[in-house]
Amino acid sequence: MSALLRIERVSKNFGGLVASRNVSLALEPGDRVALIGPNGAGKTTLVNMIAGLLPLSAGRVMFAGQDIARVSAVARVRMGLVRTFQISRLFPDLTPREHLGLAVLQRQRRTGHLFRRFEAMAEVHREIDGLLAELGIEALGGRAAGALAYGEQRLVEIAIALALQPRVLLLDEPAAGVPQGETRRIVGALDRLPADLAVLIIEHDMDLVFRFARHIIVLAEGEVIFEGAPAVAANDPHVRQAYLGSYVHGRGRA
Amino acid sequence: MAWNGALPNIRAWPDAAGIGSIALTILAGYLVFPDDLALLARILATSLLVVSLDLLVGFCGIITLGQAALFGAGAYAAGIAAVRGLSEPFSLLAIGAAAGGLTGLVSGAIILRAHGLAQLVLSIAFAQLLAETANKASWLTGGSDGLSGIAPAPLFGEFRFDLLGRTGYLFSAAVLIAVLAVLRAIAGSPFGLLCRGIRADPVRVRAMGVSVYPALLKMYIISGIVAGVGGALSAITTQVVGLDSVGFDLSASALVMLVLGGAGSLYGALLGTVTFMLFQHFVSAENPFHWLTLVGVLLIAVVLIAPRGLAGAARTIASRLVARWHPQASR
Ligand SMILES: Nc1ncnc2c1ncn2[C@@H]1O[C@H](COP(=O)(O)OP(=O)(O)OP(=O)(O)O)[C@@H](O)[C@H]1O
Ligand SMILES: [Mg+2]
Repeated sequence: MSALLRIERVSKNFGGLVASRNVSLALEPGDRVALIGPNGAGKTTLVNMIAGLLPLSAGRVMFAGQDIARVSAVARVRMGLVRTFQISRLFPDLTPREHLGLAVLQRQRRTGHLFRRFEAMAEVHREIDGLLAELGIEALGGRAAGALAYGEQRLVEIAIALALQPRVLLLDEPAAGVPQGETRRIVGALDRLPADLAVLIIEHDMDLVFRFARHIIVLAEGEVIFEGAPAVAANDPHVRQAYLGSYVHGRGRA
Repeated sequence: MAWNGALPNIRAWPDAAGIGSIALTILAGYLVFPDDLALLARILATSLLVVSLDLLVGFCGIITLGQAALFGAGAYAAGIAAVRGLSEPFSLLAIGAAAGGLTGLVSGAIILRAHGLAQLVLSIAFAQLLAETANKASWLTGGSDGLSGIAPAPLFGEFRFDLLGRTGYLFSAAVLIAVLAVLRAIAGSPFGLLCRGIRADPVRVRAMGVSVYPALLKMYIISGIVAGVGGALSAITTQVVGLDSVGFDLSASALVMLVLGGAGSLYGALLGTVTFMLFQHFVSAENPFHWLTLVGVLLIAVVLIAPRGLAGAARTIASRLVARWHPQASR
């Protein structure tokens, strides 16, 4: 009952369209849960509702035992509920260092400081250096984010999320848009996520999903059609029909 | 970092060297045009208005056509204080700053609730409300006759604000330079960084756990303080305050000056103000009936040929020249 994040019978309608129907799930610290399903299944909609960007049509979202219906999106982040975006959403003119700086300063509630020079805040920059090194993007720290390769932008997205020191991390397709051969660094970053962090990952790259997740939820047309261990999911006929198609677990998409 | 052709970067704000050259230019104005110091002082006060507008429009992406409300609040507050016996110039500046900041807080709290076109309309409505209040409260403001009898005490008890306008000009110059130095510090601060983020993508900022509304409100207060200081300067140096200082015309002109010079770099705000007001002064003297037409033509030409304004065009040309003469230096 006291899961860190628990969503209970959540539904979402857009006019006549049902984007989520009676979805429930729970995350504990250290969990690695994958949410998969075809395009338009309602995965991002679910993340938006958990993050507080979309109101629920029905159901409730509990965080640390508390109903957070009335908690703003900003306050949810401050509570430790952090998401990344399916499509990279960086400030094009800002450098990765500045992005991470904003995240670190937010955690310390110092984004409002007027008369300290950001460049001179040594302890902030030490932490940023650590984060950049963690993701292997030290060399990119000083370039405008808009000029980075897409795969590099995805790494910056993850770094920002980590800079916020989340308790629950919602990763919306961290490898989306990254060329096949270049997902290695993202996989590496995911492997090094803090062990006690609760992670919900949405991803279409099934190799990545089966490598990372210890629990899989399959969504189709807004509804959970399967929930269980990865090996079972891979062999479930409903899942295969709705989503996996000819994917063979362990060998990649045929 | 070289300018890369993208939106004006906040790092293109005046640095120490930039502020130094602005100071030198202002000093040159003093030496070269000793007979026009009254006009030049008005340009400096108006620069503060346009700079304050740039903080909102160029820095944060807020749309407003009511910036004169903040300027006028500062002008009337300083003017009324002076008429009622408080005449020390720095105190008048402080009063103007406080009035501008307070007006920024109130108008920002309202205007920031809306977005886009609604925001624009609210900004106009708020300024009109203030203008109408100033008009009706003629016992306090002089109404449509304007507030006269402002007699600021000598600066440091020593330098009188005389008809030649030397004290007024140098005082205005010093205040403008000081304001630019403070804004430069803010641009490099965590708050400056946050504002750059907000201009680019408020949703992204919220997803980092930072509330956008309070940050913009804070910027509105800062903008109000800058505009209020400009208004107070105008009251001190011209020694009258009229309804035009809160009027729609001034708000619209300020936006025109900003677009003319280029939003987002502060240099553009200064350049646009100087260009517009000199143009106004000389062309309207030559041709009082058609000078606004010519302003229109000038503005259309600038917007079409140099969409980032005069400052943007100047920077493009400068970086091309640098690239031509020092190919390896242009990173
Ligand atoms: N704001 C919205 N208004 C109306 N319809 C929406 C809105 N957001 C999403 N939808 C619809 O809801 C459905 C679910 O969309 P969602 O983005 O959650 O899918 P998804 O599972 O994330 O898909 P993908 O794998 O393509 O990212 C889609 O049919 C989509 O068109
Ligand atoms: Mg999606």
